[in-house]
Amino acid sequence: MIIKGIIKTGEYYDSVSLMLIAKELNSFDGIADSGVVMGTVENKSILVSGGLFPQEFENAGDADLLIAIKAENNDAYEKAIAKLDDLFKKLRNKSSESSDFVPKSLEGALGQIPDANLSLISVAGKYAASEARKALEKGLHVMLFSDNVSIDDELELKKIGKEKKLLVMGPDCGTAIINGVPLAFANVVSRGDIGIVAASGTGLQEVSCIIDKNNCGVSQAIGTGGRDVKKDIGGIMFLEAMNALENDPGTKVIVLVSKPPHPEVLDKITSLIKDFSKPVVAILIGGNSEQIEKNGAIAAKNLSEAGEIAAALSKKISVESVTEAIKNKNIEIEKLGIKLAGNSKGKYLRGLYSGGTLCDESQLILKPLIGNTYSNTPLSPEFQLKDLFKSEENTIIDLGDDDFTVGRPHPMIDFSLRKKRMIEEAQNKEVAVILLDIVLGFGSNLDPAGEIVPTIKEVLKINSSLNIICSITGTKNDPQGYNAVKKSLSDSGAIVMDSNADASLLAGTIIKNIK
Amino acid sequence: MEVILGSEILEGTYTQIHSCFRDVINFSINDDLLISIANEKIGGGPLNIVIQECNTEEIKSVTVKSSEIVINNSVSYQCYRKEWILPKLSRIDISKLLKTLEPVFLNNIEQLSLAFLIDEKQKPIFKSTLERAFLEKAIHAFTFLGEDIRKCCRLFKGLGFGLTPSGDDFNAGVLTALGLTTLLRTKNEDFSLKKDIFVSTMGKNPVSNNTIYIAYKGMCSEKLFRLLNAVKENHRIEIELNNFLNIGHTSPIDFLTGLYAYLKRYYDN
Amino acid sequence: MAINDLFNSKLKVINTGLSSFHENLIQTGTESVQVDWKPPVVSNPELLKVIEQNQQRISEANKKAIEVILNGKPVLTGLDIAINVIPGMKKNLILHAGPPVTWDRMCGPMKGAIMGALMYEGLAETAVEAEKLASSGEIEYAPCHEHSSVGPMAGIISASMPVFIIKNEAYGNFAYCTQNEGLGKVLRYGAFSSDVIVKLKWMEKVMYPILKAAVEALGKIDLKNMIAQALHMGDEVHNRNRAGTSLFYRAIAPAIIRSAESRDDAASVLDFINGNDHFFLNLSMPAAKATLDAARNIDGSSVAVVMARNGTDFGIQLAGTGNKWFTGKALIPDALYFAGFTKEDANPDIGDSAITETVGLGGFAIAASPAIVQFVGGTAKDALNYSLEMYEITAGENNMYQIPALNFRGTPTGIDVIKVVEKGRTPFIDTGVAHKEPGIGQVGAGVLSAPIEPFIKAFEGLADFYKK
Repeated sequence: MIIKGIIKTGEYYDSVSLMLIAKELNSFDGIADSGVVMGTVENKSILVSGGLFPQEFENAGDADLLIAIKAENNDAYEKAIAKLDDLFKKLRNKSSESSDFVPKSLEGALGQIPDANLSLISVAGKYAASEARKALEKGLHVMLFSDNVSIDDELELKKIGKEKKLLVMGPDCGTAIINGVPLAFANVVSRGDIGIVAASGTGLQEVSCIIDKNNCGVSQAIGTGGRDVKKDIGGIMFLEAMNALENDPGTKVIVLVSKPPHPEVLDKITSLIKDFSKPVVAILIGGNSEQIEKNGAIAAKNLSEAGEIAAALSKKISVESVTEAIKNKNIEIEKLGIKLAGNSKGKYLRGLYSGGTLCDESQLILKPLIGNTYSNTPLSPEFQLKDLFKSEENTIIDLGDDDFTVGRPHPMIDFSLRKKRMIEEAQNKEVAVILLDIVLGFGSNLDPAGEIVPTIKEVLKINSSLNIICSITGTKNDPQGYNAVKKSLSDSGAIVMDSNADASLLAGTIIKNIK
Repeated sequence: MEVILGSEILEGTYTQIHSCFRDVINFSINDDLLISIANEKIGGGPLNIVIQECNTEEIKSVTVKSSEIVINNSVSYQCYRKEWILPKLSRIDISKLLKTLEPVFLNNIEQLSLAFLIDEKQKPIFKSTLERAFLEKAIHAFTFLGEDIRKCCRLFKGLGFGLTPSGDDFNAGVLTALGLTTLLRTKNEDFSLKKDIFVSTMGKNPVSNNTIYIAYKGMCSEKLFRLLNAVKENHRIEIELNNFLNIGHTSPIDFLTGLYAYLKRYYDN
Repeated sequence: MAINDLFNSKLKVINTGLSSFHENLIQTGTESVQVDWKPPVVSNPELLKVIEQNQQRISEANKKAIEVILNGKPVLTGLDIAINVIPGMKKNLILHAGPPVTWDRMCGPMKGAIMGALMYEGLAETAVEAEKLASSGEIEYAPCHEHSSVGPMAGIISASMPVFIIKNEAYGNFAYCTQNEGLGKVLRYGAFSSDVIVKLKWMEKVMYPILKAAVEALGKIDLKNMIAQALHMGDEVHNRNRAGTSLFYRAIAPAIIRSAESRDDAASVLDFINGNDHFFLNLSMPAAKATLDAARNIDGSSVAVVMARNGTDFGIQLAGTGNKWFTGKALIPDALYFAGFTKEDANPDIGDSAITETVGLGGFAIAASPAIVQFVGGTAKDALNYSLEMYEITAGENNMYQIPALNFRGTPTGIDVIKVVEKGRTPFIDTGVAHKEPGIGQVGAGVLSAPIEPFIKAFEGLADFYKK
């Protein structure tokens, strides 16, 4: 028997590799025993007691790898060493496990699907325009999820798009549904004959989900990005998309969703509506609807109503019957609010939103009930929160705004900030209502109930008289499943309303009626 | 793409590659410590830079600036700093943690880790003379956990298999446990104990040193942070535990052995 | 495809960015390809814009460059002594590999090779004398590339060395390269001991006249054809030249037998070629050089016509920017080292042999040569991926050089510096690694990525051209 060893300095292998080597080594012919350890004092001593300590190990240090071999004879030792070398070589290269070729660019990808027709881009803003330009040059429609794209670039891209008759959705377009396929942050909505053009991401999600809840479906849902309807861009894509839906045989009803467009853009939109053959439902969040109504569109008061009216048109039910039903429902909600107010302590409302448009809508619904609310995105500037992390009186905040998302995932994905804030609000005895939105669909957190239910329970433990009111933007076919999420939330003690509009109405009624 | 930068990483350019694996590449800071660029599987930590889907083999150098890092002098990423400080656990949380960890040691069959110190049934997997020698040394060292924790850690230093010998991970676990208990009772002797263990367990293996250093500073890795918080909040415990166990081969278990053993003693007394 | 046509087609998506979007699409049963995107390495948006605005002109220029490269028809037409044929060659001029470099900045192997060349020329007796002369300023140095030549490793050519003459029959230009010395202690790795000089003298006195007569007898040898065949036989003609050497041997052997005066000398020359798998490298390189030189001076083209290293710097030249060199530091290759050697022993990347990659061979054709990848520790699939990736940064595909494993697709040809910079991916070079001390020889091999710096500079140089 001979005992010999190798010291490897400056070469490092992970523990799995070391174990593999030790195992293989013992299986070689003529090897009686072996040890593979780092050369620490303690390990040297176990090599000594294991009878595996060649002299040359004396000076080895903590960071050296020791391989001790007890072999029948020198020949067996040499053979083992040779095999060992191969083994190390293999391990060194194991990391570059071969996998299928992944293209490195749009061009490369086109090599794999030459007939691709849409490029979905979500790289950092400063590179996004250039990627979009390449896609347009290759004749692909573009969905630009990235934000921080300059207004000049946006204008140029949309001009190219218009000229080439290609869609340019975005920048900052979070959601779209094309040919029934949900893109980026979108819900799994049934296919149908209602087409949507939206300059608001969560607005599009809420309307499409309400349509789905009413057993109707969406033909196309085209996002344009919020800036499209501003003066600089002049509504280029909003108008292109409207025309496309008017010409689409699969679309019977058109829904328009936007914050108030620039007057010049609004003029262009209304002049299109005038000539359209298909019914148009419009929701201009916070805007005046007179002009579009005059030109033949049906104006909805909120996102939910827009969805319900569109569904009615699709099902060929009279619009009046729907607005009547909504009116009756609102009376019921007000009754419930008055009842809940009786059992409530505190006096203020705190809304913690992840969807920007939903946050705006809620403030608009609350204003006639309880007046202006404080916010990081208030309806009027004097209600700007001084400290974003401290609520004042009635406060509705958008946690998805840049104020909160720099260096952190979006609150639809990461609930931690919202959970922390819920606990803080609950500890304030003046708070009577916490209002929440939960957005489901692709891209959002896959287990929202698991995230928020423990917090709801904790909040109710801190203050059992609190009203936690929420709405869920989602469908039964979303990966999270609307029904399952709704059940978990209800079971935990939250009041789950059918829409953000309903939830806001209930919240406002409670605050209004607390004595 | 979001890049997360650990709180302990100083600005500067790092070019000396210490070691490179599939999920992580280490750069020497000095003779004692490393900074690591890792993917999301390994996750964040005080001395880690996390880049999603990073190809460690292509990285030759990294320059850290206040809110930007530059790889190979050419590719730059926006990044933000994150601190991973040990969360404060109450006595109840600690008992929950102990309950959570128990099954880990029982399910550990076939790995040459220190789990046998908690679950004796695992002793027979140590077969060769070398493995038996390791077993005996570890048992011997472990007997001092109660009466002389300093000696216990000294004996564990550098003991065992793997790139970070099991004993070093064990010691980092003990130091982390000490960090958790000092958050509950601020006794001066605890601080000096931590210091003594730290000084006597730092060695010449920078990979081991990193874990010991982080534990001594009262910080932890992202995965441990998430695990401890999951226990606190009673939510996602299993998922986080699994994520933690997946960051290494025997290291996570060796670490948890040290953490568990010390906390158990603390809790029982 | 107008918007309404999109509504009537099956949605097929290319996803650039967050990979979760791609996974979600796959989950809904939609066809989607994920792009492994990297940010461009030039961060100056002004320059990117200049290039974007001139895209039309650039692609026209590149189309022309590719046409010239693909039309190239390199043939071996003869041999002669350097000073007789290489333009500008003179007694006190020594040509070297890579971009220009002064004596004081030269690496060990290059200095050693120059000292050897001075002794070979009889300008110095001893190494000490040679070194003194080399640094005296009496000797002039210039890149091979600036004299229609190429040389592997140190790439030293001095006045009385015999060279192969390669003619590009399509455009009438010539390229030159010395005869390959084989492995072991050789000048190109910086060895200059007396046995090295003795071998060089044998190559001059015995091999050169025999080869010269044989080629003369044959008239010419079509190298493009021979390279194309070698690719089908497992060579990529940079790091593996076994098939090419065999094909050359088969072509030249009868002519040598017929034209050699001494049967012994003929046998010794044939034995020398047969015993040196790399013999063909000194033909594949000038073939590439002759092909690419014809594409020089196509204004505004972003296609590279030279990629070369001198052991200190890595330099490239573009078809569209005249004779300007764009250089950066040559890196120490992170290769697979032979037993007993480590990265510590390696010299930074050296040699003109990257001219093979520049013409669409070598690392670009490595999918045709899986044996090489195995040698450096990869799999056949890795080899395919290396070549596939190079299509991302090239302006065209070869018409003659094909990759059997890719269904005889033409090799990626014509490195487009704009694509390199935009995609942040540099060419793969399939190369040998020299020891940093002169004369020890090859210590490793690997598939390496070129440094990005010269490409960024070339991109900026091209942008400057368009700004004017």
